Amino acid sequence: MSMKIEVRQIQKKYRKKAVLKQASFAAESGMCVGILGSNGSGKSTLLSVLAGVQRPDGGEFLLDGTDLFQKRRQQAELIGYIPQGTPLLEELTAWDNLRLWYDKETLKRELSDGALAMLGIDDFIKIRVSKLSGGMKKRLAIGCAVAHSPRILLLDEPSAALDLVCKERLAAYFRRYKAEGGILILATHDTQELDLCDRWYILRDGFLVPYEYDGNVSRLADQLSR
Amino acid sequence: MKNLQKAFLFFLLLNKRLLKKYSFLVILAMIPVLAAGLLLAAGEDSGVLHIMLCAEDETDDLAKQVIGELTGEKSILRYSAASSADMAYQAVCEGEADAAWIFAEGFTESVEDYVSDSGETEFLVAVVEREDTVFLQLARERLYSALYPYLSYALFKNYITVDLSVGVSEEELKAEYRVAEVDGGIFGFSYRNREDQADTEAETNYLLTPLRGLLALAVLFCGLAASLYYEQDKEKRLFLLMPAGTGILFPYLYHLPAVIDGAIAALAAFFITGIWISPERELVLMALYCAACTGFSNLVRKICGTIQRLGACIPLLMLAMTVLCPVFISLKGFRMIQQLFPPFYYLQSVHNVGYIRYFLLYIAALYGLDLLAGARERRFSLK
Amino acid sequence: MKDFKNYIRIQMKRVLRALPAILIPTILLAGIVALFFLTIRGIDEDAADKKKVEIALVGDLSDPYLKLSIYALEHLDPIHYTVTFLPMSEKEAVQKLDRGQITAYAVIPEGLVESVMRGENKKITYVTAGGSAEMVSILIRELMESMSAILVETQNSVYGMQRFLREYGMEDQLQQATEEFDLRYVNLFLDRAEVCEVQEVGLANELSLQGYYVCAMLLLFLMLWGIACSPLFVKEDLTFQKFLLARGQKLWIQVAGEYVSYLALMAVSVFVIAVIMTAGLYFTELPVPEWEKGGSGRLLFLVVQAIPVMGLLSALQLFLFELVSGIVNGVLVQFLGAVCMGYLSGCFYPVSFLPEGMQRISAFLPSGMSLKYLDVCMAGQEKALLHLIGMGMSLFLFLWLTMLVRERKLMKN
Repeated sequence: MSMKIEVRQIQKKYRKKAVLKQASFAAESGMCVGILGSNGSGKSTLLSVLAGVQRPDGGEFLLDGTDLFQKRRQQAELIGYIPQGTPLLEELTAWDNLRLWYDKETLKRELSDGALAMLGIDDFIKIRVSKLSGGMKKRLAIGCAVAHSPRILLLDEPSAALDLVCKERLAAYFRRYKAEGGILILATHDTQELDLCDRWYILRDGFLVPYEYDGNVSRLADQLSR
Repeated sequence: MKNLQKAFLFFLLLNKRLLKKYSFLVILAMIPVLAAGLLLAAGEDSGVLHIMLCAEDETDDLAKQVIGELTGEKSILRYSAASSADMAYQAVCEGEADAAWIFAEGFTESVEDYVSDSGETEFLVAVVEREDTVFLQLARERLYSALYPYLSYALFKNYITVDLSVGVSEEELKAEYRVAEVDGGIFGFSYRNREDQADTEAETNYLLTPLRGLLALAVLFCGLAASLYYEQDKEKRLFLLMPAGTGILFPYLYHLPAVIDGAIAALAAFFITGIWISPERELVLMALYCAACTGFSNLVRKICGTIQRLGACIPLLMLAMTVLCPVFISLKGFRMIQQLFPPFYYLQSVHNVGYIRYFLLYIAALYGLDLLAGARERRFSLK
Repeated sequence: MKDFKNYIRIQMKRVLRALPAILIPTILLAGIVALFFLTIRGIDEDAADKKKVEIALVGDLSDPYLKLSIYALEHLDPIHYTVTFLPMSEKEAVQKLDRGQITAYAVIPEGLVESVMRGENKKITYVTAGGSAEMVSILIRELMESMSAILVETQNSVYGMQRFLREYGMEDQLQQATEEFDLRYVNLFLDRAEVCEVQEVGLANELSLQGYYVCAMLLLFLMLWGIACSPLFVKEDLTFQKFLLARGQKLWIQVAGEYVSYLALMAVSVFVIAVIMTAGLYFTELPVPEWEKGGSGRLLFLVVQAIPVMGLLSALQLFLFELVSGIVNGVLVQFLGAVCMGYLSGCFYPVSFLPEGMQRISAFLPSGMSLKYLDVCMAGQEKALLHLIGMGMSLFLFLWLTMLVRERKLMKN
């Protein structure tokens, strides 16, 4: 089933400093949106507002006309969010972490031929998270985030500090997610991820400015530094 | 010279960084807060035992006089007057007071009867307690010494008028009794170091007594906190940026600002609370103590190895030192373990300058061990 | 509700995995706290002997009157229950003082007795070690000042009597009268215990000092226990909490889940220690008057009764962990919190030793409430419900504050 999201004039202030002033964009099923911006421009804030972690000071997040900011439960059901860092319990195994979000049967099924199989989580399912590599942790985090089959996936710099093999694995998963009709919203600086996107926005002074990425990194850097 | 300048610059920068850590500022702030709190508490009405005083006969002047003297004195015991014997009794039963001293009916006459040769000795004061502890036994000595001048005078009067059968007026008797006026008490107090004859008032107040020990622990705590920060920085690989050659001295340099900051705050607290002895004594001892704390913290850090172990170890060490070093109590029979901890040497040396030689030996041993542990640590890090 | 159950389940799994690692410092902590208790109360197998204050006597002890006085103090006087006098050389006394084998030594000056006879009191110097200024020393000091005052009063009286005889021309009776008079004073002094009649009303429903310290040490142990949990409960960042929130796990679910697992971990650790200690007590018999009837099992019973205290302290410690970030800050805040609150609430000195102002503050602190509740349980009083209400309110206050702090941190992050 196709869907359309529209983010309208989102505002967010920290004390007196407005981080997001009039951030707006739109996307449809099967689309990937790349949010670009220099460090501290507010990309993570925008994603956490969309994920429902932080409350916006204004604006709307419409899904087929319904404002998700007003429907918290629906927002949680529809969105999968992977913040920067590791949203996992380090003392427990990958299996234990997944069990927080999946029931036993579903987990086994997903590990054998579902999203988790595609992410290659079965390889380290019994290993404690604290002993996993960065790439494994990121895949596991995505595995946890998609347990409820969200239709929108928000990812904050998903492939930062990952090796090429791992990046490729994630990219393959994102392509499949798009192909299945999901909407991906990525805050990123990674060129491989930028190639995945269908629309690009630069977050500058609290506004989202549309940008046409053509693979020219120097031009993009020039835009970001303005 | 250049290296020294560099070391000093490191010291200043580390100190600046340290003073921006809010957890360290909390520890540092704890020192004056602790001192001020104890000073305020010591100024208030408090005591190790709460004793209710009352006279069965409210019109008895002598009983009133003794009660007035006791309630008016500054003592380790806290006295308060009860309106009736029942109330005093009840206060003891309900745990509001540790004892009640109830002056018997006809107290004035009883004092005279007590010293007469009649053979009948009626008690003068009824003491009500829930259990008879050593503290309460010692407190009764104070009761006796409060009654003693009256008993003594009664004995004197009785002997003159009855035994010697001399007819003499009360005024004359009183005048003769007081005329000798022997000066001064029989006990003088001194510390092991005989030059420290006098105690400051602060050192004899039971609430302020543990202050020096507590502040010494706080200084060491600053050093141990620096060890935690050191391990945290090491985990973040911060020291990879350090220039080569600072290896051996660097951990000491890292700990020193924390210890010195703590020491400055502690010295200020000594001065404010009145337990300061003399500038030479305080500064020399504190300098030695800073050296000991730096070495000790560094050694503990090396032994523990990880921030988690160090974190679990610090409270255990602090509590062990509170118990074993003479902070609240002077423990006998654990000397071997006591001698492992820096506060023990510091507190022993405060009024016993001769103990400083053991303190110096301890510091030398500490740094010797520390360097050995350091060599081991460096070997591992090179691998 | 399913989310809540799931979250508790996973948190429980997490803390139970950490249990062995937490038990080691917990056992060590229990050992030190037990040592602290034994030290404070002087409870030992030879308590009767070791409780006494040992004071060495050095200097000129040759005078027969002095010998008689020391004998009287050691054998006839009530003070012999608390103080032992040990004659020795000054060198030996200094060594023993340095080794901590005696509390102090008293230097008797030459010709002390003659000086006292003449009313020109030479001073006996009471020498203590440097770092041993503590409660017993202060009490002994008060005692000595009292003794000194008694001696001076006696001297005044004796000289007054002699002067009187001289003035009234009864000099021939002076020698005999002085001896008689002195004897009366000796009797008056040695019989001073007769001045008062001591009535022990019994502990009834009130707590003995030993009982009080058992409660105080249990509380101190519970407060310091939190430090061992720092690596588990201090958050370096809030990524996981953000993730939970995005998945619809509300803040109350997060905090309640962590609280339940924290409390369970505390309870299990404390019970393990309590079982070990109960077994130990079975062989040693702790002389706590309140436990005379129930035997060593009473410790276990007290720990069961302490569950509400564990509940309150878990909430407090979780709140402290929430306030800080990073393990270093976690350890420091927990330690300082435990020590400061422990001091104010009477874990080091009984709370009754403190001024009333501080006692009032203590009553509102979680540690103060907890100690009061434990006291009530230990004494077998029936006022526990009243304290439970206050503790319950504080517990919810701390959980609510934890949620508030977390929300603020998430909003700010």
